[in-house]
Amino acid sequence: MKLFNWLWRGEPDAASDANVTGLAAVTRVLVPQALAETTQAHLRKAGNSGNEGLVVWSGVQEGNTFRVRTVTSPEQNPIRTSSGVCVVIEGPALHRLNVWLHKNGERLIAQVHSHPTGAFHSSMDDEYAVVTAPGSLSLVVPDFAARPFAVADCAVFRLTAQGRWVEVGSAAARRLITLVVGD
Amino acid sequence: METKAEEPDEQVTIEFIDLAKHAHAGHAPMRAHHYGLTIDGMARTVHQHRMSAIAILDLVDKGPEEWVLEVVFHDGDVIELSEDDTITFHERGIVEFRTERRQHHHGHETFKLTVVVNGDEVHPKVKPDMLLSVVVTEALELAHAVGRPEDQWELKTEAGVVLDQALTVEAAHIENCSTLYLSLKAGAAGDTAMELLVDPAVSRAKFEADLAQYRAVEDGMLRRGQWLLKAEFPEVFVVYGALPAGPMHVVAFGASLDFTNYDLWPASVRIVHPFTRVPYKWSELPPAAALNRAVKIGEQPGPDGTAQEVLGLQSMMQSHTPDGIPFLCMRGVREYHTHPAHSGDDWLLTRASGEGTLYHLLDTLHRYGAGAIVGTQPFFNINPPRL
Repeated sequence: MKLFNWLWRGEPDAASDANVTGLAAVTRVLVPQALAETTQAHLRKAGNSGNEGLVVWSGVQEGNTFRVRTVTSPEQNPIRTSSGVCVVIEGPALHRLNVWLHKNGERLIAQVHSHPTGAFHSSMDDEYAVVTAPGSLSLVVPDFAARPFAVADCAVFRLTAQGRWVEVGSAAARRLITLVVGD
Repeated sequence: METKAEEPDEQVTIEFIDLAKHAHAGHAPMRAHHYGLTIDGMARTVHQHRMSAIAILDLVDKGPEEWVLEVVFHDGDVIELSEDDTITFHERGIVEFRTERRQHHHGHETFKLTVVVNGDEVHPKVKPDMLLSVVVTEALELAHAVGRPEDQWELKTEAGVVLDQALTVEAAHIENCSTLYLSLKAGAAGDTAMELLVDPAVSRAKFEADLAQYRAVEDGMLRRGQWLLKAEFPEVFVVYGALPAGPMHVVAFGASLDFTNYDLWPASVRIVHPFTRVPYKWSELPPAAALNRAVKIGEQPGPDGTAQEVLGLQSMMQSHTPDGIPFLCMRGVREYHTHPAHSGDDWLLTRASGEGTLYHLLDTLHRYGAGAIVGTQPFFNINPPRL
């Protein structure tokens, strides 16, 4: 994982490059505190039933800044087996999300999901992510979101232009994602 | 209109060939000093061996902006020429040239199409004769949707109807200036081992085995009004009809099944509109699609004084809200086994029983759905004409 941390440290410079566009150019994600609490509440509710939960953050991009405006919890099926837990979002729910985003002029910036214990990006997280654009984020919240939401508590990953998820170091993640009071 | 010769004629042995007569007479194509062309039934003489489509159109005072040129060969082939194409008169038997207005000939018109990829709007260059799979490729490239491979996306209308990517834009009846949605087939996250998700080849093999079992008895299913219209892994689409007593035949409802990760997961079952394939909300379910079954709700004394069962109707379809998409609450159905209320009824302990096979699911939908329709009450709205 340290290798990935090292690789990612070069990206903020790349983001400031004029050639980098779209979500990959985002160097600051502003999340209203209330939406962070909504996120935690959903994940905690799923966790209380022994299930993982997943929400997506959407909003608008203004240059290098992304303002999260909406937290959406798409219809999802939690699955528990003897080997672990996961959550599956079916096509119709993702289609409804797609249509909603378009009609409301928002785009996805991140998916946030919980794990029962440690926060890491599993191969399932890599291969079946709901967010797909370079620069998108995936936040993994540990311990079924038992604690109030904090970026420092999460493992944060970012999608490269090559389609790989690479971990953003804790300090870089805290610089990238800021909880703000109000809108 | 006549044109000047443009190249030496060392091999020319004939002065003039009328291409249509020459081809109809069964002569092999050959060089001539002059060629007689038939364009939209009009005769034109030219003095060169090859010409561009634009030049041929010009012979009948037409331009490529409004007109498309086709060449009809003696062997029956008809080829549309783009404006930059050049055709040689002595290489293949040509019968005639035809022109067609572009507004009646959509093949090379450019469509304005909006494709929304995970919320991001892109505008691929689209032509009516382009395959939708090509549109999908272009849209994903424009959206830089790098996170998921192309086969994990579905092109849908806003209503959620999945478009067959093997069709052309025109064949799919997509109108100019339409908006389509490229949505993911599924998303997942979790810390379960990835190996638990079944290799698609394994799921496909199990699906095919189920399908073969079904095909063996399909004739009987068709006769009773159970029409399997699509079965391409992982999707199945079936429509249920009924032939009850009375004057009416009934198309009762459709069902869409998803065998992704089968049979680690049971199949997902949705009751859908038989024409649009859009899942019904609970409040929209047709009567037969409620899948009612008679259950004992009590007892009462009968005429002879013995206790007799009192039966009531219980729907096998469940939803928490009127606007919710109802699910089939039955063993062998994904939505049943993933529901928190049924966490104690593990699918992995059920699947060997045969519940959850394609045959079992479709048979259940028929038995409690269209198969339970025994009659209809038609009403006719008649507006009698005046004398």
